[in-house]
Amino acid sequence: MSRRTPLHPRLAQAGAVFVDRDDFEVCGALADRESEYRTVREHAGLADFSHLLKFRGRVDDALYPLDETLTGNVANLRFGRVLHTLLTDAEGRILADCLVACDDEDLFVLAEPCAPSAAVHERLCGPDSGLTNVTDDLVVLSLDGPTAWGAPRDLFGRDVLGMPYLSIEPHELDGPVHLIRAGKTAEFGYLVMADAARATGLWDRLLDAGARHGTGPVGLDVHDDLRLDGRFFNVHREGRVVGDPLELGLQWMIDFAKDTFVGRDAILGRRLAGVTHKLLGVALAAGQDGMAQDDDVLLDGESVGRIVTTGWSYTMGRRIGLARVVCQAAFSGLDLTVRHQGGERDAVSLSMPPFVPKSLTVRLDEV
Amino acid sequence: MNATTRRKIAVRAELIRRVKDDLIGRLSLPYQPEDLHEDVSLLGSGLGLDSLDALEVVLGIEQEFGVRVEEGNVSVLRSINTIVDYLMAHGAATAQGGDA
Repeated sequence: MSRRTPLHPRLAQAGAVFVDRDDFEVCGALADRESEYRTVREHAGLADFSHLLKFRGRVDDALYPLDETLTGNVANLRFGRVLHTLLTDAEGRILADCLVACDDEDLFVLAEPCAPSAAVHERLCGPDSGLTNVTDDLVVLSLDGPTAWGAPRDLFGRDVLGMPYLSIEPHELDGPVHLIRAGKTAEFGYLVMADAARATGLWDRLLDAGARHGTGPVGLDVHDDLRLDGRFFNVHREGRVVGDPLELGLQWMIDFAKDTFVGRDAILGRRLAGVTHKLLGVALAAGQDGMAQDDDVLLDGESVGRIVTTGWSYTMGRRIGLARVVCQAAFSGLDLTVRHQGGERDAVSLSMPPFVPKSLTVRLDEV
Repeated sequence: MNATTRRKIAVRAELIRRVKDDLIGRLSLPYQPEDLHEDVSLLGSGLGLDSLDALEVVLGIEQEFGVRVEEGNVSVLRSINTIVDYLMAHGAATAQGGDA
């Protein structure tokens, strides 16, 4: 039976449609997809991400074991900073997308798995790991959008506007909370983390404070669309299908100079041999629809790859997707054909992200 | 792949190569060119460049390609691909003898 987050009753009361994700029954949507999408792209959306696997340990105990496990350089993580990295298996295939946050003496790991949660727990939380699984003890709320800074500024003070991307700060809001500057929508993003017992109060405070900044509640399904057209890695979509971080273009999440991490030999071997496929953004021509996972992608009549994931970009007004294609054809600006259910669709390859997110036009020192 | 597509790819591939080489050299990035996906985010997530790095990249575009980037136009720096799009739109490909 699926587990529930502490906000389940409040979200059910608000009319949430629940879906299964990572062994949890999570809020998939609270309104129609387009209005949730536009809430995030134009204002700010608050979502319950409490289903993330959460681990906590003392820096002195957990830092080095974690460094030997994850692909990124955890050992060099400074106080107050966050590392975005990966947990891979011995074959170098992705098990989880991880944020590692270092707050003074505490280390937090927020893991979004594409493997069974038990397997991720086993890898991260072994007897000498120094980590404890605190998934049920903490609530994580994600605030994303060009005005996502509004509620944190009003609740915690103007100094939060100076937080660099991938940083963590402790604050007080009816008790201790941690504010993490991170997001996966291409807009401003903040994660707010606190004791699970205060979940409902925290949700209400953020929505109340965010109201004058246009903040509204959103589900998790729309985050798949936002990650796709924001070109942020989605472990549930392309991560699950492709698995190889090199083909996914996630080299920046790997420290190739490290002596040890799980999957290192396999990943370095593939890197040495040379990557043969990579992901390419694809958009169907205006007015056309119908593109799904495994559809064939053709360039000048020759098959060059297959669709990995698709979604609707409300900003572009088109169906877009990511295709796994041979490197020789992985260039944007090409005319393609997508073969879908026996028919053919006109498409083009895209430079991603294919539009300028509104947050890029906002200067936080001027708000 | 027909000849027009091959030429189009060749022009783009050359610009990508030069942008990657400039980024890696100018910012001392610990990567090989093959490690940098053309869509990798340059600011914030991905390569995590800060505002000083961004200025360096803009300087590189202007010195290497002779193409000016308006002050504050960070949207060009979303990814390597968006830099290359900007270069192609501003004649850098033509200056290199391409026909895209």
